[in-house]
Amino acid sequence: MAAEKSSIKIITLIAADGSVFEVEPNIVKEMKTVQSYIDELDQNTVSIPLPNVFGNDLAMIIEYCKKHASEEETKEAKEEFDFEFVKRMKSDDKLRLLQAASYLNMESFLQFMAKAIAAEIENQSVEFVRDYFQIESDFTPEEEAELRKENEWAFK
Amino acid sequence: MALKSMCKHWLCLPKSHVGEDVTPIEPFQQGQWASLPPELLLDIIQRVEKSETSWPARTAVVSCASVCKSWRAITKEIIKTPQQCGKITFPISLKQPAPRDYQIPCFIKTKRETSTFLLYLGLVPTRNQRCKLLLAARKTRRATGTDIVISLAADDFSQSSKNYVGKLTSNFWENKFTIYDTHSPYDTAIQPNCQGARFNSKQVSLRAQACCCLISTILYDRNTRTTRRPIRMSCFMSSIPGSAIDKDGTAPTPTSLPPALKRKSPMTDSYSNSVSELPGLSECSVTPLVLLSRPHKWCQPQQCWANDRITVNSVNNFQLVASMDLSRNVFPEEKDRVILQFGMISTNTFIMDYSYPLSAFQAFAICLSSFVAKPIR
Repeated sequence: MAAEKSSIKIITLIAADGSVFEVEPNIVKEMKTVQSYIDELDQNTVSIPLPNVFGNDLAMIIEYCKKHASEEETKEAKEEFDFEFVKRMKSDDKLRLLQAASYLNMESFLQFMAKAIAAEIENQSVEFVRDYFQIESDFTPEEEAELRKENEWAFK
Repeated sequence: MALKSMCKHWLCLPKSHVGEDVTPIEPFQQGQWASLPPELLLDIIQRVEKSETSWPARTAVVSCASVCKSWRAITKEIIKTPQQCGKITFPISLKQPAPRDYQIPCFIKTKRETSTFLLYLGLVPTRNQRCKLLLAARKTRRATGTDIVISLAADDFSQSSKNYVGKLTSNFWENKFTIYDTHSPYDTAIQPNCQGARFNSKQVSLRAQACCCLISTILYDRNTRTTRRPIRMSCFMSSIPGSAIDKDGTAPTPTSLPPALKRKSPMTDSYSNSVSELPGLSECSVTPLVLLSRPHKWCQPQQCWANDRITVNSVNNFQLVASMDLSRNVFPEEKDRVILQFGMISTNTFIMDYSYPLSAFQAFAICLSSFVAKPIR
């Protein structure tokens, strides 16, 4: 298997909007969905279409992978990068990246995104969480009354 | 494996947004976050739960449980009972037993001017940090005894309120108390220890009638009332079987508060309900757990019945241990385990540390009885 992998020099990823990214094999190692493709094919160059990931998101994911795959970077530098990475994301970005990470089956990036989103809703009220995730309540008025009681108690 | 199935699920998502032949998964279209797969949501909420272990930050977990039905189901799946994790999260946690190997530390503040008692979570009151209020109680004297109403809110002691969780009543001599719970400790329809309401119906709300279970009877030794010896009492926990303290024993753990619907049910219905739940204690084959008081060890240097938590000598300080039947198959350490300890730390502040098989509600009610049985002078 190792021999097969080393035979591939460059991997081309094609995002949903048609933008093309050329990456080295070590970058896609994290992306299990892509990796399984590569393992099946026995070619020197591969181009893989990713119809569920947009170019902007893929660029961010590749940037993240590059930073974390690099052996020269210190742990502190990576943490600093992570912090900045989360800072520039908006709510929508987080959702898309999380979905992309899930589609690409990237375990550690998925964990990273879940953590970032969890941090967002820590210490927040229901209204905030509903607003942030754009979710409407589907409870019956009776259930709502029960929840209000629970919430009133929690915020005392 | 779960992730794989999610990927498949996603492949059809863009289509559903366009509105083609793919039927939407949700009954109605929510924001795009609503399409978040449960596995990912589970991970996110798990993280929130792990990072917010103390109050008031833990409100975030309660918030997560109130967003929508799927969020609630996932949050409820993650949150363990106090017995499993030692943490209190929802109001229902107050009626679930504490862990065996750890006493949940609480303290009670008494307010004489309003006859109220407030139960907070925490070791001792702290000045700069707001402690979590768990339960509140208010004492009212009647011609035939004393009533203490226990509520979730410190400003609402109505027995018809949604905050009402139970009450404690005394006999005329204030040496015998009964604890009533607004709902059965068992979730199932089988309620072997549930007794119907036997008090003045004028004072009882519809809700109280819908289910009012006698969960404990507390008896005080009359002789100790006149002496300066520590109080002696026994608690017959009719809702907890004696086998709860066995190696593989379990205490009843309700998983949800009674639905709001119950309050609205017609009177006739709720009345017949309470009557049908009248098997009576004596008819039950299970022997209830009995807790006996034990004074704190006499501390020679401080000249009081106290320990490291309890700092003021008071005849009201007590510890409760389970009454042991020698034939019981219990852990050796169980024999001397303090299930509830109560004691004074300042004029208006008392500590209340409780553990399995008691719940916060039961422990609080037992401690409240000691305020009435022996007024603090």
